[in-house]
Amino acid sequence: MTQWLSILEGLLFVIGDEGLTIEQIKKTLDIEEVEVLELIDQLKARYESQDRGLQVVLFAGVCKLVTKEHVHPYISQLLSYQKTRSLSQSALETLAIIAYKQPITRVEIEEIRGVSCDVMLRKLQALDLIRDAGRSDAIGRPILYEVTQDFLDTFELMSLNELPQLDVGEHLSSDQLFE
Amino acid sequence: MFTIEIDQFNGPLDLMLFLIKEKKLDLFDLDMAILIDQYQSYLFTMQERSLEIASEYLSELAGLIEYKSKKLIPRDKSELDANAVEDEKESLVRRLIEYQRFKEVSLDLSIRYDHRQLLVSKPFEKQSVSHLFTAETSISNDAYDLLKAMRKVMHRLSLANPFETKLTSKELSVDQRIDMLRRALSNKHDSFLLEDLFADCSSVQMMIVTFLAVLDMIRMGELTFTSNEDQIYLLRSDEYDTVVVHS
Repeated sequence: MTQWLSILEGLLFVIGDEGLTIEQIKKTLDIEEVEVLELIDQLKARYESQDRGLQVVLFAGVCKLVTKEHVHPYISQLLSYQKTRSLSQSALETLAIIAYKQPITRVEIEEIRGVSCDVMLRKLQALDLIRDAGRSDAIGRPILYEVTQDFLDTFELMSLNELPQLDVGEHLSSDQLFE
Repeated sequence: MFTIEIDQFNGPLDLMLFLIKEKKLDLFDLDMAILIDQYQSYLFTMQERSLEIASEYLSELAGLIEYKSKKLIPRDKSELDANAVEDEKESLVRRLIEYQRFKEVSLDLSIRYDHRQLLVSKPFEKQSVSHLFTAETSISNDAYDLLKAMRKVMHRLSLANPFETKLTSKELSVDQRIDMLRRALSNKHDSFLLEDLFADCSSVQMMIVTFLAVLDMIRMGELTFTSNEDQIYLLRSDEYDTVVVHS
């Protein structure tokens, strides 16, 4: 088992930013899925406890070796192009709506946001954060949108279940509203 | 008065939520009259400062004014009507609440996003490229996954074999072009169209150079030109006397 830890570490080093899925680790090491998860947890813990610049993360079902956040200022110092892109508030809102309501059509998103989302959806698609998931049966067969694996990775999520609960107003549940 | 620009809002609902907060209105017992007044005066201020207001804001305003007028104008007071007006209010409140929820959630997403940006990973090991096609990867039968996989393969290949090329730019000077034109025109005794000279041009640059060359040759008195409707005719000046020029 201790040897497996070092093997997994080596594999993660080689695979780099693409990361390894749990399935890939399972097949490569020829062990059970439970053992893989255990192994990842152990490796994670080791990196966390020690004074290391790297850490193991598990986003979108993919395990990767990444730098710790406190290293980042120095990385940007070293590589002047290492800039963080920021997403606009409207982009985040649109993504949030899709993540919670997917698959969802453009018109449905626009109803919630109260603004046109045509350009935004194309931008998000170009960023690989959303993709079309077929068509709705509604009139005109509009395109349905859903979030991608990249979305999960970009927002540090293992799955959509990890999203925070939509806060349903305290003294106002939906059945109170539609009596 | 307001000092906030409309650009700061992500649409009419966002603006309404701001006004509700600013005027300390209760979203769950919304005073529509105040909200409508505030919303309207906000848009008017924007208009006075001749700022562009997106159509979405105006369409919401139209809805609000319709609501207001229904409330004000005494109509035949059937219960049904009153209910319909209340429904509109409820539907607006419902939209505001829903929008607010997503706004809150997007804040959480924003924090996650910013944090993720700080974590850097190393690109795929280049030396492993040769094993790439034997390595087992699980891909669902989805066109997008396939497309993504293809992109990855192309990316890896491009890392493995950097593409080398040499660029040479051919530049043609106006003088060179004049020489070329002189040779081409040496046995042209009739008038001809300006367009004819562009026939061998392969680029916009070359066309521009050709045009400059023609202008220069006219300046030097080697060519004369006449225009007839949309066409420009050129003629070598030394042939001028022998040819009847198009009138």
